[in-house]
Amino acid sequence: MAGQISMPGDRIAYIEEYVPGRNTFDDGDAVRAAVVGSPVIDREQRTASIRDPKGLTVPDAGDTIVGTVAAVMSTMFAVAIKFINGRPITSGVECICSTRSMRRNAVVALPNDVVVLKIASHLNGAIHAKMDEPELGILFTKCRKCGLRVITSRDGVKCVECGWFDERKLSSAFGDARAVELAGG
Amino acid sequence: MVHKTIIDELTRSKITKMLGDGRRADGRGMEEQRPVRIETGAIPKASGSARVFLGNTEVVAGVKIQPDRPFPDVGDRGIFICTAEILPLAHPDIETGPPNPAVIELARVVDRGIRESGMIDLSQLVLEKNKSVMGVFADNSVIDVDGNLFDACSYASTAALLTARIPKWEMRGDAPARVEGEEYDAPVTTIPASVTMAKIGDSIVVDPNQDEWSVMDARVTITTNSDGNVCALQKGGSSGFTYDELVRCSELSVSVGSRVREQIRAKGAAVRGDG
Amino acid sequence: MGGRDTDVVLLDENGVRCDGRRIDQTRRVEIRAGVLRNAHGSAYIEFGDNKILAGVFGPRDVHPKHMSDTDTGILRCRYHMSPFSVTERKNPAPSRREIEISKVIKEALEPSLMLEKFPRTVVDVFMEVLQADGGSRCAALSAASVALADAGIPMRDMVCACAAGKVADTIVLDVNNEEDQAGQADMPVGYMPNMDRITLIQLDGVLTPDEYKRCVRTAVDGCRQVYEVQKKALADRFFGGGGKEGSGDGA
Repeated sequence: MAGQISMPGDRIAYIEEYVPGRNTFDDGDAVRAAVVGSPVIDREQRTASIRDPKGLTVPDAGDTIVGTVAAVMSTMFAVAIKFINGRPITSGVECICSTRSMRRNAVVALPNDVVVLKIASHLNGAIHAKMDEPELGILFTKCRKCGLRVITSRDGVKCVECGWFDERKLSSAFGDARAVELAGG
Repeated sequence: MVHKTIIDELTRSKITKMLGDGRRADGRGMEEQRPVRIETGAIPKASGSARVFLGNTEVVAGVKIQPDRPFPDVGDRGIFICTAEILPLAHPDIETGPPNPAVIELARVVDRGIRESGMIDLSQLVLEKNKSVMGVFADNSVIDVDGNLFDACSYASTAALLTARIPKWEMRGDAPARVEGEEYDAPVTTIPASVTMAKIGDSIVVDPNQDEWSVMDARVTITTNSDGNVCALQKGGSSGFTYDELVRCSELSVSVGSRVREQIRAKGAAVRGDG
Repeated sequence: MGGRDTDVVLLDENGVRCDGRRIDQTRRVEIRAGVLRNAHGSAYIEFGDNKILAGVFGPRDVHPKHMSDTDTGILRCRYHMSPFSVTERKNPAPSRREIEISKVIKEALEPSLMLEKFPRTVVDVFMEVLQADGGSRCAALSAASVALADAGIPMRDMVCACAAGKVADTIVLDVNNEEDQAGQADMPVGYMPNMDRITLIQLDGVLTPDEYKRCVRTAVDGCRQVYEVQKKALADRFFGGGGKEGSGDGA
C-alpha cells in the first residue's frame, strides 16, 4: 500500500489478519485509520498502522520532552511540557515524574526548573515520565537559597553568589540553551 | 502568562544579545518592516474589505455602511467606528468572552489613528442634520498573530475604507431609504499610516514580531497622514522613552509609513473614480 | 417557514433552479487545509458565498480546571460570525442562534473523535464566518472536521455536511439563501460516511413522510459529495505541499 493516503475512517485491513497499530482503531470488523497518513502494513508483526506526518500536541511513550516544573510534591513533580522531540508546543499539557527512586537527600526539582525527560507511559489519565538516563534531568535551575545563578559542582549545583550546594539530577546537557530555540527560528 | 519562566528569560536574553550586535532573530534590519501584502475585496458582501499580511500576522477587515442616528453633540457629521477582535483561532493564548484591556486598547488605537487623521470626511455623510446620518463601521478580525497587530489592523481598515463603495441612501419623508443600485467612493481626504516601534534594552526596532513583542520593554505607535504630519500616538509597555528616542521614532514613522501609504494608495487607485 | 410569496422563479419547467443548478447539485465547494500558522489544525471553506475559517487547538490543558474530565478529553466549539459577514452589520457579541449552532456542531463532531485517549484535556474548535450565505452551519461543520484531521486528532471518521430542502414542492439538494427565504423546508445534515451515521440533523418546514425520507437521502448524497472535497483538501495538505509552512505546533 506504499504511496497511498488514508483518511480517518478508511479501512486499511481486516481484524482477522492484522492487529491495529499506531494511529488506527478497530471497529469490530476492520482496522481503520484514525488520522490522515500513509498506511504501514507489517506482515511480520501482523500490525496495520498509519504513519502520521504531523504529530500531536500530546507526547507518546518514548518521546523526549523539555518543560518547566509546575509543582513539586513529596514523591513526584509535575512538568508543563514546552517541547516534544525538539518541536515547540503550546498545549500546556503536563506530565508527572516519580522521585521515589532518587536518593533521599537529593533536591530533585524546584518549581520553574527546565527539565528534559523521557515519556514512559500513559496510565490512569496521567502522562508518566522518567529521568533515569544521563541526558535526562535538569537543564536550567537557580539557587534554592538566593535565586541566583548556579554552576555544576560534583553531583549537583553550587551558587556563584552564596556558595550553597545542592545535590541534583542534572542532564548531561545542563546549561545548554539549544533545546530552547526561538519559535521564529 | 502569569509569571516569567526560565524559558522566557532565555528568549529575552537571546533577543537582547542579538539586538546589541545590531541583528534581529529573523534577519531584518532594525528599521525594517516585515513585508506587507494587501488584498482588497476579500469579502464581497461588505461595502469594502481587505486582508492584510504583515509578515505572519494576518487580519481581515470589513466595512459596513448603513444609516444611523448621529451622536447628539455632532448632528452634522456621519459616524465612524472602528473595532478589533483577536479571533480565538488566531493564537493559543486567546480566550473567548468579553475583550480584555489589551484588545480594547488595540481597537481604540486603530480607531484613533484613522479618526484623528480625518481620513473620512464625515461632514459628507449626513442625510438630514441632527436626525439621520451614514454610519461607517470598520471591523477588524485578527486571524493569525505574530506581533504588531496595531499596524496590521490599521492597514487593513485603511485599505478597506479606501476601496469601500458607499451605498446611496436618501430621506424619503421621515425615514432614510436606499437608492437601489447607486454607490459612491468613500469621501477620503488623507491616508493615515501607523508605524509601531518597540524598545528592547537600548535598541529601537520597527515592527516587532511576536518574539520581540513578548519581551519588549516599551512600544510606541505613531500614525502619520499623507502630509507627513503626526496625527495620533500611543505609548505602551512598562518602561519609558527618552526625548531623543521619541524624536527618532517620529522620523521613522514618517519614512516607514510613507512606503506603506503608497501601497495602500495603489489599492485605492485601482478601484476609485478619483484614481 | 411559510413559503412566502416571491417573484423569483425557484424552479423552472426544465428543473433548473434560480442560481442555474439542477436539483441534485451542490453549490461550488472548495476547501483548503492548513491555512493558519498558529492553530494546531485549520481549514478554510468556500461553500457558495459562505467563507468560513476553522481553527483547532489541542488536546490541551483545560481552563477553567473544573471543566476537565478525568476519564476523557472534552470538546468545545464556537461558531461565530464576523460583524461584516451579513448584509446588516452584526453585533460581535454571540447571539442565541450562534450559541445553538455551536452546540449542534459540537454534538455532530463528538461521535467522530476519540477523545477518550486524552483524559483531562480539551480540544477547542473555533469557526469564524467571514461571509455568510445559506447553509453556513453545514459549511462550518465540514471545515471543522477537516481542521480536526489537519490537527492530527485521532478520529473514527470524518464528518461531512450538506443540507437538502423543499423548494417549489420539489426536494432539492443544498438550499441557497433565496430558496431558504422563499422555500418550504430546510434540512441540514451532518454525516459520517464510513460509519454511516447521521450526527447532525435539523429541519424547519413541513414535509410529508415520503418527502422526509427523500430529503434525508438527498442530503446524505450531498454529504458524500462534500466528503470528496474534504479528502482532496487533506491529501493536498499532507502530500501535495499545500498549506502554510510551519502550521501550528505540528511544524
